[in-house]
Amino acid sequence: MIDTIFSLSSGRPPAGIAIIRISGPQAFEIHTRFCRLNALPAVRRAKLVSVVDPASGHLLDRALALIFAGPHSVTGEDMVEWHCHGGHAVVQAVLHALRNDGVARDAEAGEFTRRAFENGRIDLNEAEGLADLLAAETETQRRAALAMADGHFSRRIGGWRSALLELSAQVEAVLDFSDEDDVAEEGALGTIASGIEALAQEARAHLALPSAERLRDGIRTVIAGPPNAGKSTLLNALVGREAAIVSDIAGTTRDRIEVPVSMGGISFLLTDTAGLRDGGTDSIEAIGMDRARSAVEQADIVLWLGLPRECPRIDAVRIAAQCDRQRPGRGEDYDLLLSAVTGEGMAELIDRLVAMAEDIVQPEAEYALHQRQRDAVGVLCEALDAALTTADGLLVAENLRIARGAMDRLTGRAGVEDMLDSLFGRFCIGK
Amino acid sequence: MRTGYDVIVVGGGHAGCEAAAAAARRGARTALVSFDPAMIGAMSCNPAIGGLGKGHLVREVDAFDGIIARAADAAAIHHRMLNASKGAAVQGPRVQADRKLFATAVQRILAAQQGIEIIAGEVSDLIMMDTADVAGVRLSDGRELCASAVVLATGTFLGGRMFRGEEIFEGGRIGEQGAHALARRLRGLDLPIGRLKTGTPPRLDGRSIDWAALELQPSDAGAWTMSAVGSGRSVPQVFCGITRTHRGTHDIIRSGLDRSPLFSGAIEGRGPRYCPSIEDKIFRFGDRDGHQIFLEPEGLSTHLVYPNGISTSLPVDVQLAMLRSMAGLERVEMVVPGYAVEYDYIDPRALDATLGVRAVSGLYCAGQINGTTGYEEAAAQGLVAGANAAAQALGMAPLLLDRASSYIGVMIDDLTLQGVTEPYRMLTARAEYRLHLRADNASTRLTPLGIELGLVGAARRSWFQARQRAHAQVRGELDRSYSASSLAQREIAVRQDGARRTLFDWLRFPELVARPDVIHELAPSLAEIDGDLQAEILEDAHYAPYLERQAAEIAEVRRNEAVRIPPTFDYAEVGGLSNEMCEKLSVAQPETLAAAGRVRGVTPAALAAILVALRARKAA
Repeated sequence: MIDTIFSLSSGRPPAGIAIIRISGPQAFEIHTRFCRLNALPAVRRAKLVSVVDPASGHLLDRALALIFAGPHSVTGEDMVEWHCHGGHAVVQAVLHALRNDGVARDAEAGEFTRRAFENGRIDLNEAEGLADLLAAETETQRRAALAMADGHFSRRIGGWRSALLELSAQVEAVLDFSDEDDVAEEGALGTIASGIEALAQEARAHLALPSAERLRDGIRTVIAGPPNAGKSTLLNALVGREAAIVSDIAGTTRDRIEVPVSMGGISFLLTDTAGLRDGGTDSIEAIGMDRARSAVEQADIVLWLGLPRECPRIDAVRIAAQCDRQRPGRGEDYDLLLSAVTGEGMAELIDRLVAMAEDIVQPEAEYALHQRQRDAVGVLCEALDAALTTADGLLVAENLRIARGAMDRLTGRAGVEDMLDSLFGRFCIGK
Repeated sequence: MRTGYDVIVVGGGHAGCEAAAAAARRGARTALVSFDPAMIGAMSCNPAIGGLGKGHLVREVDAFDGIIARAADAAAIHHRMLNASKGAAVQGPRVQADRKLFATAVQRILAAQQGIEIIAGEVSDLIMMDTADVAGVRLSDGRELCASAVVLATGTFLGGRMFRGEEIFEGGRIGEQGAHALARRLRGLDLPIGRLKTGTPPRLDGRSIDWAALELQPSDAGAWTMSAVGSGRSVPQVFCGITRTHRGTHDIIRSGLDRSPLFSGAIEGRGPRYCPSIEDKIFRFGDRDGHQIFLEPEGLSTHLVYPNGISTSLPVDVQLAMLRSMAGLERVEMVVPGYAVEYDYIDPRALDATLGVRAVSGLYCAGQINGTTGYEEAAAQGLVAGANAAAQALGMAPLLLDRASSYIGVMIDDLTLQGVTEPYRMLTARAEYRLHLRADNASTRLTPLGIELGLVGAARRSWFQARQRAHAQVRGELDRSYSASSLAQREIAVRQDGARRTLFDWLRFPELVARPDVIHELAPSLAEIDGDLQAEILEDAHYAPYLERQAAEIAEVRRNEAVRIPPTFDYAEVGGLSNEMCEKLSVAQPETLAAAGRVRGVTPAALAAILVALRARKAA
């Protein structure tokens, strides 16, 4: 038996309005009992109700109520929404009464979305997008998640799948029917190969898209340089100015401090590293420096606060920090002069970081792919490449089948019959 | 008068004969009831056996010691390996068979099989124990035959009606009556019954064809046969002729469309896309400027010629005009005009994987009654239905074949899960594990199961055991490792990557494949085994990486087969299934979650919802 769940579905109070959702087989029963209704009101029509605690008989709030009958609701179940006043006390009182009532229980994190998926209201890609949307903290994340939840990527996959079906149909026509003279074999494999190449190009472009994990976790930005170069001061200045601390995440190691910030609508994960210097003596420091080096290698952006000629990566931003104390010497090729104390150069640095990050996340890209989606697109690319390197029609067909399987795992199954439909719609076949 | 059997088979076509023979091979006392025993083994339409996808079915039936391949070999007057230039997985052996020799061979094999009694008569009724258990059949002359299981293999005879222009005749084949009483009885059983149609071309008098004006196609050289245990080619080979339709022909056809039962609405059943009538081809693909027509002699002792590619139900005068418009046929005489036939079929989603009717214990169906077209499809279902009818009667293990094992398994899965919207024809494209399911390895795949279930006779059993020994010996030689440099010493220019590979792995490299002398030097027993087994082993080596990948895929599917869906499961109670999905699943009643996933239109989200509902049900 599926139970009934409830939760506050809008943001944290206080707010203008708080939306409390109840979903499940008992939702309507709870609604009529809490609102003292004799009959269930019309679905999808807003109605003013008095929400009363059935245990005490106390009025909890006057709310706007909307009811949705399953399966035509976001969760696919019977669902009620109470739009209450958004104060702390009201929300807590209503949730408390529901909890006390015992018919429904508090929803677990993501449970509404999971039910929507399990009831076939949304596909896996949309579910993932919705989860991202709920967690989105920056504009870029929000746009990418919205595009995913809206099914943009699912539609793209749909397009690829049609293309694959069409290509498979052409190969099968050559394999199963060329001997019957109804299908010309000459040139057919060439046409098929160019179709595969076009699809492969598009799929490869998708693999180059930023990953959803990157959007969510932030652009890895590492501040590196010799000890006492002003790295921590710069980190604090970036976090304190123009930037919002989203939350504090303790560094995974004592020697690396990671702080997520948002600048220009993009998430960054700032990392302060142990100072890099040659000939360190004690072993703990050596470990710290190893980690710093690997952080520098894996970073999307490196801010280098040492001498430009000692810079560990050619694409690093070479910064003359502490320019309030000492101006850089002649002949040193810095990208930027900066003083975290006076603020000189800070605005320029932030602009520069945002511009570099935009290059990485490509804000014009509609959406970002999750690891699961990237894996499937990876299989697609591999199979298409394999199909392009063989002259054996059987293996072209086999690789297209593998490619279809990868797409099927992302959304749904396209059967052999779909391919045959495509085949027989185009060719006059058979005797 | 009542007579008792274990299994009764209704119908003596390709499905019925295989069913009776398979049941008898498993030891069932079997009765084969036919309107006219002289017509047993008749080929109603095309005088050919095999082809793409169909050749695979023939070899698979043969692997279970069935009839069709041996009968085809005894009658083969023209051999052709379709797709010979392509990979073995899509090659289709096809023979043209002399009608008389074929029927004679079938009747001879049935007569030699112990435990089959052939009975002339019309089955008009089923004897039922209660509403859901069949106990035998009643004949129109009042005789009653009792049995634990009944196989219906009625072909186009069940409610059969023929069309030619404005003419309509009752019957299952030209000159033969239909099974109307039985059709009414089945409709009374509340089975889901629909109508399908098929057609056949006119038959020509070969003496009136100008063969000299035509391109001729000789029989393949080579010695392959349809049956793995064939004794070679014994019958003289004949030529086929090739002519073409052209714009003039198409104009004649168009002028007769208004008198065609296909377009006037007289025929309600749907015809096969894969085997369309010529008027359908012209109507749907009018832009084609011509279609190839093969002129196939029907036998050594007849002048009849079958024009392959011109199935039609146009009026007789239009048929003749159309024929005479083509090269070589200017003065042709038509012996029997073409016609369309419409018949009853049972929605095969009412069947389970044994081809038994789920709602009626002991009742099995095979062939066109299940919505298929083709001798080979019919024979393959006959084998399965007969073997399972015997299993039910004698309490033996059923013959269950899945998509990973065989084309037969693919066909049964397609039929019982998806149903049909037109007569179902086998195509290699239907098999996802095509690289593994080849015509050349049917024995390796299926004969062990046939032996286990008692479907394979002593002669083939000892042949197969010898073959297995030879196979093992060759594999032993192929499993020895060689370095790239040792191949280079034999002047084979493989890349010197320092790798040691087994000879089996090296056989994937074209450089070695091009040197049979070296292959035979390193694996001497490969040269000694017969050509079929040799080809099978080389093909396995060639596609080995893909075959391994498919094996992994099959293992994954089989894990999902472990989640069983009880027959009482109510899809309407699963939230989020569309009405269409709900209806399709309720009709198909998939036995496992994996099967549910194969039902067309069922999405992973729906599968997840079904899985959750199954778990909730278990918990409740």
